[in-house]
Amino acid sequence: MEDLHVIGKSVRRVDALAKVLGKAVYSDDLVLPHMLYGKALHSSYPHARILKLDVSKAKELSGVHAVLTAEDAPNNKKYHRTGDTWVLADGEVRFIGDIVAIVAAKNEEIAEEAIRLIEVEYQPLPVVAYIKEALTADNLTRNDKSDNIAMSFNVSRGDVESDFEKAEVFVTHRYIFPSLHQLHLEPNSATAVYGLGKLTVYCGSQVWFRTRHELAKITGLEEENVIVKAMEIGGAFGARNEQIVPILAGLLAVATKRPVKFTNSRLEEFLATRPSVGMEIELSMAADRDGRLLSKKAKVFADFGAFTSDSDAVLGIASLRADNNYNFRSVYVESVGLYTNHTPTSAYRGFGNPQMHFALESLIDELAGKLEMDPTLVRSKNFIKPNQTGIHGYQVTSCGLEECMAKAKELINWDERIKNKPPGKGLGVAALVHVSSSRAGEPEFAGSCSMLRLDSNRKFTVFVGECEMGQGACTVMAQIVAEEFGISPQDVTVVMGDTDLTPFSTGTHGSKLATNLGNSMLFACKEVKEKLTKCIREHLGTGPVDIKDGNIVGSYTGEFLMTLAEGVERACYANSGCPFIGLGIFEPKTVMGDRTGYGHIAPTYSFGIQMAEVTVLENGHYTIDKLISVHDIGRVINQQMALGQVYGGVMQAVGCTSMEDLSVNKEGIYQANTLLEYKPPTILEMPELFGGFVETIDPYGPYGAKGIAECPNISVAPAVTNAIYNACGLRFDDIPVTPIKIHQKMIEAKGNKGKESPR
Amino acid sequence: MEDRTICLRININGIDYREDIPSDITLLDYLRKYRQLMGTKKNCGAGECGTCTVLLDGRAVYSCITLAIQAYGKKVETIESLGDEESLHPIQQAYLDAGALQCGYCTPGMIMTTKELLDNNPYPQDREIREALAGNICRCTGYRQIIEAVKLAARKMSGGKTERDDGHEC
Amino acid sequence: MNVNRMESLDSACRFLEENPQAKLIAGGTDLIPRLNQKIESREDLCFLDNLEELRGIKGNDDGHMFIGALTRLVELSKSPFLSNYTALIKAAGKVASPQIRNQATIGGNILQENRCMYFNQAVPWSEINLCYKRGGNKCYQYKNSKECMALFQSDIAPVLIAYGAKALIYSNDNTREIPVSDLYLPAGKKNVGHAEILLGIKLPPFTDHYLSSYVRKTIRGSFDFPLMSCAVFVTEKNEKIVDIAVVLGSAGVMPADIKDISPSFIGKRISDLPQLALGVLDAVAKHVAPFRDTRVNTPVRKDMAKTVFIEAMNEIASQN
Repeated sequence: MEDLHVIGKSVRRVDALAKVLGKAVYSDDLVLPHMLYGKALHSSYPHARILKLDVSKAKELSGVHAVLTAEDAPNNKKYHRTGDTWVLADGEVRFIGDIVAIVAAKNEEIAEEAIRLIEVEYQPLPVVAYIKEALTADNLTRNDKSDNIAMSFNVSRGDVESDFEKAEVFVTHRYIFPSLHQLHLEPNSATAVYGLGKLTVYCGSQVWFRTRHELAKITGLEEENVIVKAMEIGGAFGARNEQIVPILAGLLAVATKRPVKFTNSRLEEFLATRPSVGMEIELSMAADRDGRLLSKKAKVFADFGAFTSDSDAVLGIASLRADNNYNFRSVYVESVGLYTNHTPTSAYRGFGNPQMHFALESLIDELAGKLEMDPTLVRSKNFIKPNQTGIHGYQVTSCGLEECMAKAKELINWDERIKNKPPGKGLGVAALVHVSSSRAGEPEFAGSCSMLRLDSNRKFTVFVGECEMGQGACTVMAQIVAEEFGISPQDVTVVMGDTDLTPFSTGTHGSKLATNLGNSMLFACKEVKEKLTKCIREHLGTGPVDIKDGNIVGSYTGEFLMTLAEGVERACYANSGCPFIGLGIFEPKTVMGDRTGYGHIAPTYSFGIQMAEVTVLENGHYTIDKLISVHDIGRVINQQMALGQVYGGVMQAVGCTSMEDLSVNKEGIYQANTLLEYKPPTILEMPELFGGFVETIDPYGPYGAKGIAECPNISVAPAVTNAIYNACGLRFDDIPVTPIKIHQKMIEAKGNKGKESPR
Repeated sequence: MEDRTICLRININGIDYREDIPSDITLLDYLRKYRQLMGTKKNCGAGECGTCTVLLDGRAVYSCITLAIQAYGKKVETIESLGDEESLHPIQQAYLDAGALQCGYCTPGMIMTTKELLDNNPYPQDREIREALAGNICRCTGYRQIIEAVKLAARKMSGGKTERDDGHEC
Repeated sequence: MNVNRMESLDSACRFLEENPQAKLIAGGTDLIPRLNQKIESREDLCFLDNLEELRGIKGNDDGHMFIGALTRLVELSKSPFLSNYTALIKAAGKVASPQIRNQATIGGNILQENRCMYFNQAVPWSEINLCYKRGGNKCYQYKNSKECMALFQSDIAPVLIAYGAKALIYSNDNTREIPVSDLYLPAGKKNVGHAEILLGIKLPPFTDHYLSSYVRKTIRGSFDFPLMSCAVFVTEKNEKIVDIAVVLGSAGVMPADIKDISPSFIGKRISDLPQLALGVLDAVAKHVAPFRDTRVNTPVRKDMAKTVFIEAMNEIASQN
């Protein structure tokens, strides 16, 4: 084991100073001379035909510089790789946030007045608000489709029918995991500048290069004339995988030839961006009497909203990923993605995994109950092991599920407490598997590229096309460089996402930064070290040298020759001023997954165990007292930051488990469209949080590290609902667990008294 | 549209200002647009998240639902008043040391609320910290490291003293 | 929108008379969110901060406590004059969040606009099927309702009603004094004329024989309006109940002063309150108006009413 100086230490975030000073520049903080302000007119109906659209009065208002509709953006219907989405509504509106027109004006008040002057005549159409309604196809969500099915597929592995026939134990249940809002606190904002044939857009994004591509496509400009500049990002969690706002700003900037800022209101964030994919899952499992899981059948219904965006990939992952955690003999899944007339859905931390894990981990708990086996033991009996291949082709290498389970049990004192529970208390467990980097993007490829530049000014600058959205990406990059060169991470500048400066990236998702970007960073460092040491040897007349602890030392003698800073400066000047540039490429040997979704889609996989302790009160209400979250993420690069990810992800899941609810009404409108009603957890909702890590040292990750980003958000919900069942015998298969649902269950329980009892 | 302007007299971060502003502008918009103090963040506009928290005569308020005119003749403190690169306020230092921020969007508001707490209660207990920060939402950190930062800041600001006179440890 | 700073009570009332669409604003924490959300718009606001008559917490000669309408909720919690009015302190300390309490006023809190999921979360750019509050002709809470049935969700009003507090209302013609319970009219309207201004609240003098409690139920510990709340005020003598007031908050369009259960408690021992409470639960729950929300429905709200009532009674008994 190497002696690591910076990796594994809780070094301070390199972006933290600016943030605590209030000096970090987020998109809406940008102010440019002669800037105009953009606003959108959204649809008055969740579903309607546009009979008349008259923007003349708005155009005539003094101070208005442009009013654009779909007519002015002929390419706007090609948005997103699926080509299924438009940015500006064309002839029909399909959800309440659909944009009918956009305006650029001298100030926000004039822009809002212009919006009010736009005349639209609608012919309301029937609204399809729910999965059930979409399935019956009595009403169509959209005028360009003949039914409401956006996608459907089924996947079969092994002989499911035979395994179910042979089963000695059988469980089945239906689960509901609704759409959620990521609730990143910073509303989407972009400022676009068009001049001299070039469009520059300042914004936050998880997908800078996709944003550039979409901007080019929709404005009709050549992609080499579009530049996206990265601003600080106030949280994303998957919400900034799709960027509408930069497109709107871009269109207005090209039309007005002035800088245009477009910032969403919080209401527009709820209704006109992309919440997560709500799903209804019918699940069945077959097992033998000893608790060995044989087979699993699933029917998944996913709510895509008005358009297909990343929801197709989310459904694909929800359908398959969770199965890889267990040694099922056979699996069958039938999945349908449906159009409805509400805000289109897309990615949220976990990308489909939280949805299926909720169902799977709840059903395993039911199975354990039927078998009268400890639920931790049922899981342990069936966990995938290191160096096994999962049922859908995941080639697992490092896998610390057993160790995570042992650690979690120790932290919550499971063995003791599950036997001697005080009345009203319950314990619950759930496991998780996730990718550490995956394949997604447009164009799609598996790898990442990092660039490191070391210059005569002694500055280390990293250039990467990924983004920092709070998860700590730039600090991890800085730590790797610091480790390799023996310097401080605070001395490394990380440039992320400027499409003119950084290498192309498919996007920041799939928890890919640690493995993909981290490895590519390591290779870039290696290349720079080689170039630098070679240059010093050749041009400064030393023998072979190494870089150690921020110094240049003789390779054989270990003798200090000069500081790294001095060596860089001198070598650079001796070599015609040439900087030392390293390009690192990490190309994992993964596949996209075949037609059935089978394949080794990530270089490695992260695992974890979530445990919950709850107290159920006499009137059925409950408190979450403790949450234990233990993860196998290989080597932990920065303990403090990794714990922060764990606490944050777990609290987001506390939100969806017990209080967050978008509440679609039958008009297809999210009723809980304010923070007050959507109810993200406050500090008062924080239970005792315990985060822990099991360091398995992955063979592929940089220093053995794996990704953590999405993991803590997965499987908290079933851990909590399993704990509630353990406490009082009420099983919740539909989150959030609200007073209505508790009340309903208690009434049902009174009716079924004697039939069900807790462990 | 003609909005009446009103003459605002206000002290922002120790400096007196006197200027004509639209009478209906919020304190948040005034700070960001007229004073170019971008550290105070904009989000919900309804007093439901806390990113816009500033101190008004020492009290934490949501600047998004406070009219600038409501701050007439008063003292406003924003994140910019606390410290700078060379000399951070102990609360800022504590947030850095405890890793109590990720995306940073809630951070200015969270720090200003922390300042109100510690200015009035130098040795807060766990429960008091939570109640004081209950009006600030964070989506990234899960709050635990924020609580640690507040305790660390309290220790720094009290010169390492951890007990109140009534014997409660913070 | 014009914000007009009022310099005196008289000029404020005159301005209101001359501008029928103008709205009073004190702390602004009730009105300004709706303005920012664009579910309400005003051309003129009357900003009251300069009116000294609306400030202060002071005892009158007759022992009554006057609380100025502009008193911030945080001041209520800190005032030594009010420390005996424990239910009031508790209610004031639970409203919304610390930042709101630093700015919101008692006057604004007890005159706050009624709330409902449909109205307060309305999509301002959509005018389909408007409810009464938005200028339409339906109510989403009650089918076929002829008027708005949005809930009144103040924490403080039920407590003041339980205390038998009075509201002092000023107009250019006179100052009238009415029980706080009379402030609330059907359809969420308030008994304060357009050109009248709430001066403040008069609390009865506190004696050692008074016990009060306040319990509220929410989803979250902060920000949320109560889903249901209960204020109880008991006058005792020799540990027996001489008088009792039970007021449910967030149960309907106005606080529900539950008078019909009083006979069950008069003359009984305070220590028996928890047991006695169990006997009148249905009578209490009867006052819960049907209401559709996303997390609670009528059966749940009735249950909640029983729960908050029992807890409030237990709190009284434990204070004895």
